[in-house]
Amino acid sequence: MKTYTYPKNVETMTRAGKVIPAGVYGHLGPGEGCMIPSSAYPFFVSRAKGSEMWDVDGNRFIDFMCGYGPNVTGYCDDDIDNAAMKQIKIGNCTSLPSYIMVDFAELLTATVKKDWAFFCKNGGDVTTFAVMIARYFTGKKKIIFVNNYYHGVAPWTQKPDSPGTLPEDCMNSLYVNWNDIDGLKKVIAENDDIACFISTPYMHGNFVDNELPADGYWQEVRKLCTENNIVLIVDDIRAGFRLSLQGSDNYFGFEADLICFCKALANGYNVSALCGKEFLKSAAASVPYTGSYWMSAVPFAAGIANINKLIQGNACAHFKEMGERLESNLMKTAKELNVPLVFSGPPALFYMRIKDKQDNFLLHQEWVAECVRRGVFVTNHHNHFLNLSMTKELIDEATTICSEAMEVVVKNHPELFK
Amino acid sequence: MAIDVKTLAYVNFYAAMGTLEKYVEYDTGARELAKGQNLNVRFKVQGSGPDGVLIFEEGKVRALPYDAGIKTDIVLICKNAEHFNKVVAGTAMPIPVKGVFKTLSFMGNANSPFMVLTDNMAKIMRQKEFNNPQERELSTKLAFYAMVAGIAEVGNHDPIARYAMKRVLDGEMVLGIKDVCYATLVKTGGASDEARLTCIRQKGSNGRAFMTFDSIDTAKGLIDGELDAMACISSGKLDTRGHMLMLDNVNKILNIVPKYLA
Repeated sequence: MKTYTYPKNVETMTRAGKVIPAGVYGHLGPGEGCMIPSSAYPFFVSRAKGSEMWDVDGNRFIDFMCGYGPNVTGYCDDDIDNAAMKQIKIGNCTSLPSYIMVDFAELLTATVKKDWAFFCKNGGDVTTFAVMIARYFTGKKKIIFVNNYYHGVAPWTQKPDSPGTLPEDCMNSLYVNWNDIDGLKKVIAENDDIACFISTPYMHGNFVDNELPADGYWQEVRKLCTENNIVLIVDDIRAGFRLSLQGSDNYFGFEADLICFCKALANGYNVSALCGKEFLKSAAASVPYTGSYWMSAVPFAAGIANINKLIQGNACAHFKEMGERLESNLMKTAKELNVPLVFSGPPALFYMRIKDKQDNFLLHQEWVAECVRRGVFVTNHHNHFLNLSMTKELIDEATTICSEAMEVVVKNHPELFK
Repeated sequence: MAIDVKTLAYVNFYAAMGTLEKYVEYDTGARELAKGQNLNVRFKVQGSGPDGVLIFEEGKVRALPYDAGIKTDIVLICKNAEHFNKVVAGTAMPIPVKGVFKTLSFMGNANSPFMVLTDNMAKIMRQKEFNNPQERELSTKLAFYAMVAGIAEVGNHDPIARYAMKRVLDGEMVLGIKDVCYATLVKTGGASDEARLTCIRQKGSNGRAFMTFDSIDTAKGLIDGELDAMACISSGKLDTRGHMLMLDNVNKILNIVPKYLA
């Protein structure tokens, strides 16, 4: 199988580095060190459709990252793009919000079974707003985080050693381990000023096998929060609309007080939402919070079309089926080649890694690089995403490519796979 | 960002003086000078500063924490970390409590062996113009080893860097200039108060994370702050692989190191 080269990608990155910090900053760029080696990866896309993308060198990829989540219906989905185009012709960023904001709020709250919705742009906007509401409502300061968390890049989400963050920004941060109810009880007993508990619905940290909640975990968390006047915030930015269209709290059988949505809300159109229960609605109205583009109508139109299409397409069942098919196929190859491949997390958001004896990711990173060089876009550090346009045929094509890549790794290290 | 005087004292002893180990290994003149000094010099910094021994033995130098099993020829007391830092800067003298005459001949004036060795090494490390590629390579290698040892000391002692150090997973991280020189940071103690980083000035065999400069030029440019680390990662000049969460936290310490090694 032919392997890709990236001359135009490199040329574009050289240009980017001159005018953009880090060339491509943040999680989509190589500067965070997760494209290993960077020579195996493309840096810039020229176009995308469905579950596929083409880089600036013309290389085609079956994409299991989905823009790190937003691509939930399919890149350049005609139904959603048509809804957006229709709206852009009648008004977008106007002096009064479009009525379509109300339509979107009604659809969203009915779908995720919450009483109100507040729209922003990014995930960090809504996690920050959720914490502000919790502090205002309870009159308390402290935030309980679950280790391996990610709730954005604002200083309150960081540690004191993070560039640009002050120790004072982290003074009210408390930490517990995932699935550790005893640890949570201890933290609550030792602190009397806790405003909120914020967590993703399951532990999807990077470079670690993802962990689902233990039986009864969320129900016990819910009980502890209620008993101690602690606002329960679920950060569903990554998992939202992939496990259940009703929100991941419903999926795991409990009710969050506040739930944060972003990535899969509008198939890549820029809108995020904080949804909440009635008793916090007045607090949400009181906390000053707004932004220049937060009421733009085009993303609302896209969001409405997106949610309706996900409902009609029974999307979460499709994600599960596709994820399970890929896992089953790749585990078969791994077994045949004696490669210790491990899948974790829900199939719709699977994480996979080759768990070598030294636990240093080198073999896994080598395999992932060989997959990318052959046209399957996966990562070594992060969970993956399925979308509604994914087909069995693409899954099987990806399996063929990833299997060949695995054979290459095995041939490179015969001493490890006897 | 404030400099913590205790952290600076540890950096001065283990990262700056500790790099004498590599200086005498690489530089023939330095090695010859060190060969004439078979003695152990203890720097005892009172308060919470370092208590370490510089061991000169057959042209080799090591900087180790003091323990009662190490015979000392010279014992030098500093009242506190600030005093020690002034000694290193050449603006104060330590108090010799053992081996006074040896102290005078070893480091009593600008021409004494210890002063010549440390002054020459500092000049080479800070040099900007070079007479030949070998000189440039030596300067870069010494700066590299000082940087890696600095990561360990800053991570262990700087109040902010300790947050990141504790989050580094236990195990070895191998740092190096490709095919030129390598060092290993060993993390132990998990996230507890006993957590610490140790610098070993050689390539580890059980690395969990790896950071490799592709050339002397890249290493020098990055250490001197003339190249952008993100751009070097993007271009492959700085190769990082393995357990990236370990390196992510090490990088947070590395961001703080230059203020101590300046």
